[in-house]
Amino acid sequence: MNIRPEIKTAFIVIILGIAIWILLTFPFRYGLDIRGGIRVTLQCQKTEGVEITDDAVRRTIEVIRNRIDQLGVTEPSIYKEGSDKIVVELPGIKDPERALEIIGQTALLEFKDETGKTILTGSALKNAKVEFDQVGQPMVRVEMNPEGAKIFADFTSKNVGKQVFIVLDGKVISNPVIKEPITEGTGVITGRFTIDEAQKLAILLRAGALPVPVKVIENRTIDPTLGKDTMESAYRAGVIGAILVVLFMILVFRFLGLVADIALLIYVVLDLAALKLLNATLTLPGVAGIILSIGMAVDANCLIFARMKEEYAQRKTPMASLDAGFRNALRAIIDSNVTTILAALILFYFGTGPIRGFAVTLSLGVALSMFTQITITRTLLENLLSLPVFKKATKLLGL
Amino acid sequence: MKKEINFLGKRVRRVFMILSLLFVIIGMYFFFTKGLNYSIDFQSGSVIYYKLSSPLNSNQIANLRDIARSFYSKSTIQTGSNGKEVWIRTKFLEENELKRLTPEVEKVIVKYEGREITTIEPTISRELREKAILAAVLAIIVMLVYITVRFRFDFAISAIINEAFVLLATISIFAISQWEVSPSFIAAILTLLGYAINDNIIVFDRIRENSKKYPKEDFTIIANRSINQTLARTLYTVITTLLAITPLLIWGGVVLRPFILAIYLGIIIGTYSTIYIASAILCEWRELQK
Repeated sequence: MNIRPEIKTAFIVIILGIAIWILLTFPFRYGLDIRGGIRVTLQCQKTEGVEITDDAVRRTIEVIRNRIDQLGVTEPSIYKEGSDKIVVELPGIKDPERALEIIGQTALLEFKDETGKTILTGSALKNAKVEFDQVGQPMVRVEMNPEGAKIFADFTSKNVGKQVFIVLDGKVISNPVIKEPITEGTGVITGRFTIDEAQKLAILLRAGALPVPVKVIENRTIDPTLGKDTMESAYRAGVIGAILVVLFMILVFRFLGLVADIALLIYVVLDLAALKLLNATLTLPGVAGIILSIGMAVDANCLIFARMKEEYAQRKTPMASLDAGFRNALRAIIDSNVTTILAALILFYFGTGPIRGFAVTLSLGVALSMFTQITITRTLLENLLSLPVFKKATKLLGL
Repeated sequence: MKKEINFLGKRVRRVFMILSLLFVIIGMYFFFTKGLNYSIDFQSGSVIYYKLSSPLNSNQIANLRDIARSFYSKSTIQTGSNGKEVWIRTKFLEENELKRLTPEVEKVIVKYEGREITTIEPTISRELREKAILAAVLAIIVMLVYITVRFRFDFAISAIINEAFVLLATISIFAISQWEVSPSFIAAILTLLGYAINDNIIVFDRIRENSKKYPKEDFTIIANRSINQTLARTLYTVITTLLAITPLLIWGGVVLRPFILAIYLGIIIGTYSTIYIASAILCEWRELQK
């Protein structure tokens, strides 16, 4: 490629500018292990007549999402895992037990007659809200959709004086006597509710019943203080590690090392900006991956500079050895990095949660470091090595 | 010309190959008799973890053990950081059992800085383990294809045997030492497989280049020269990688420690195996062909 150095420089400056802007404006998205919260894995249970199909799982996820939206959790993540599992991650939640009760309950509401025949189910409801009776006892007012209202009106007009059973997940919660036909399509569910229970029931009824029952098979509660502590110490350790790498490069490669360090700094900026832009979830292993990549990013420079030293012994001019060093080292860098990226892609495809995050940071790091440590270092050196200072002072170059 | 170190002399390389093989055989013996110490993520069970501001005394630990064992007779209490961290491990506990256990525990541990409760049913763990094996097998196949295309088939086979060695050696170390295997361990293993193949390919690249330059030269001499020529880079990269992650090992907290430890091992094993597995096998192969 024969692009003029000035154009390359301008290109790099623009990219760096965009990256810094992203870094300053976008937030980081931290994983559960850093922010704290709960992670629950639910398994859909087979029941009589209901098979676990993809569609059933999808509808179950939909209902759970509705319920969680009503809990007001910021950035929940709900996704399918395997064929019949659903993972729910709720960062920063204050009352995990309550959340779990709301997520996991099937909440199949049924109106039954005295013979046990189901007249209506919760799917006929349009809305549900908490109200209070004259003595301040909470109750849930339900509003039915037009068809539901019609069926209920028919039923109540034919059965005045009889009982109707309101059943939730197979348990009778109230069994009022029909005093008069109910035609307007609303009704109240009374029971001995506490306010909290009534609110929970209203949420469940509004969001609808789960198409299939679910069972909690994994439940992690992660305290936010733990993750924050580790994150802070990891951050500090990362900075110290980066400084050590920078010093080592200057010590061994002198001016060349300094240029590689500048490229490394750009690498860190680009890497963090890319993670923010992709809205990648930053987990603890992910942070470790970023730090590891700082150490491995300069590998390309070590290869190139070691090669430059060899070439310099034969060719005697900095510019010629720069060219030969890059040319000869490039093949090895590309072959080795491509294999690493391939491994990372497999990790991403088969991994779960934190491991996927790790795969993203790893492959992003390798790709970006190839750009900074090869293209940027080369552009900088092409511009700088033509300066008259370096004509004689090759010691400064560490060659 | 600088003096070369004779890495690949026939006797030296065979001694190291046999030692490597012996190590893996011993490791596999442990793997099949004692197995790996899987973390809770791979087996069913519940773990309650506490981070404390002041260490527990032995009385309190005994109390905790009694409480946990009243729920499950094989429960264990593990402490770390001079008693400032506690893990209570039991069988898989149902929600309501956990609700009874934690208040009892918190009669002993009254004040804590952080708590983490994890419970896992066996179904999850099986799937995780199967996925891990599948990922490893696939990674190997993809690398085999790539190296065959870019180099030669015998290079690819040597590189894959090398990867298999790195994998088996790491598993051996974890089987013999009984260090805990957690999900980040899989990430670590795949990273160090990447690191090892990286190192391997850099040397193979030199061998490829030198073979073209000196087609008449004896292969073992070429391989040995290539290792010598890339030695400086190998050393630099080992140092920069260690410099980057060592602070994390020291100050990064307990959570990341197993991960970093595995990376450390990988760097050592990967550097060693490039010479005494990958290159040594390639030399044996070429000498057989003569």
